[in-house]
Amino acid sequence: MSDPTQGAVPGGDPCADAHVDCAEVLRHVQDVLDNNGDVEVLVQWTAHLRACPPCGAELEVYERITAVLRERQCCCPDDVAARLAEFGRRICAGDEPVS
Amino acid sequence: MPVLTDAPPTDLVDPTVDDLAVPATARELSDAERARLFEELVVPETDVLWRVALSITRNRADAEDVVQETLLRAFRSLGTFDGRYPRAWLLTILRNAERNRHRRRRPELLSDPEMAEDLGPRTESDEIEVAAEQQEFTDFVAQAVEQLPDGFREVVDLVDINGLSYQEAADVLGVPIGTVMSRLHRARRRLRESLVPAGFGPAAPSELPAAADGHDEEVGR
Repeated sequence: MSDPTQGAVPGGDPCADAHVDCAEVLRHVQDVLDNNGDVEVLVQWTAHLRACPPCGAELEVYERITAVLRERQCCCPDDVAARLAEFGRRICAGDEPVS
Repeated sequence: MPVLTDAPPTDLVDPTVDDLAVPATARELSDAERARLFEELVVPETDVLWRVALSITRNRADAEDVVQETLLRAFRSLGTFDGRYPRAWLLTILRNAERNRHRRRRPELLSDPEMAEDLGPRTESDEIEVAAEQQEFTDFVAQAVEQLPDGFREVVDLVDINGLSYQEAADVLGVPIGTVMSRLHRARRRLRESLVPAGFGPAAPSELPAAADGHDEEVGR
């Protein structure tokens, strides 16, 4: 497997983006992932990630991880939801269970 | 979002106190009004409460108990709630309910790996190679999450799996929002680095500062 981060490491191919430092963007790749931070800076970092394959590959790795994690979200099962709804109705009816 | 009262901010439920305590500023609610508010503010959050409870209890039966306790406490506390940010209010109640429950239990039960497996295996998919690889990746990430220290796993579970905001996760865990962000980033970094030896991802760029690990005692339980 080729190393897509080659251009971002010291001694590797220089990144074509002369405006933003790869190391800086890589330190903040999770902020880009979460859209967290100053909008102008995020726009600059995002543009770099699109233009720089090694940095873009790093973001893709994180995106793949978080995409998998999102799929793990489970909904409250129907039977549990029904019991909790009934529990709520009992509370509202003044039939508070002893807790 | 209904604003139920013009009461000053001091009327807000203080998350540091027992939410069952009724402050002097609590207002009387009729049974009908209380039921209406419960239906309007609490019931819509039940699914989120259950998912968060499952995240922190790791067990479906316990999650249901915690949600029931949360619903009961919320119902009783409606007179002290100003109607703003019901989810944050409920998550704080849930946290207190879970802490009380936790104190009543033997702590070793919470780290029982068999209970963690209660969350169930991933679905199998081996129809085509790409799907199989994706499933292997999914399984690997799921396993890697389980191997994170509790404090890391919790934030991943709350934010990345269950979609809570940083602030909502901070409300549940009772920690500053900066702590949530720090733990989340460090946790993801661990997940990302774990991919390399398993052949699921390229090596991380070498000039990145080492993940601020070595403080697992702060996040473990």
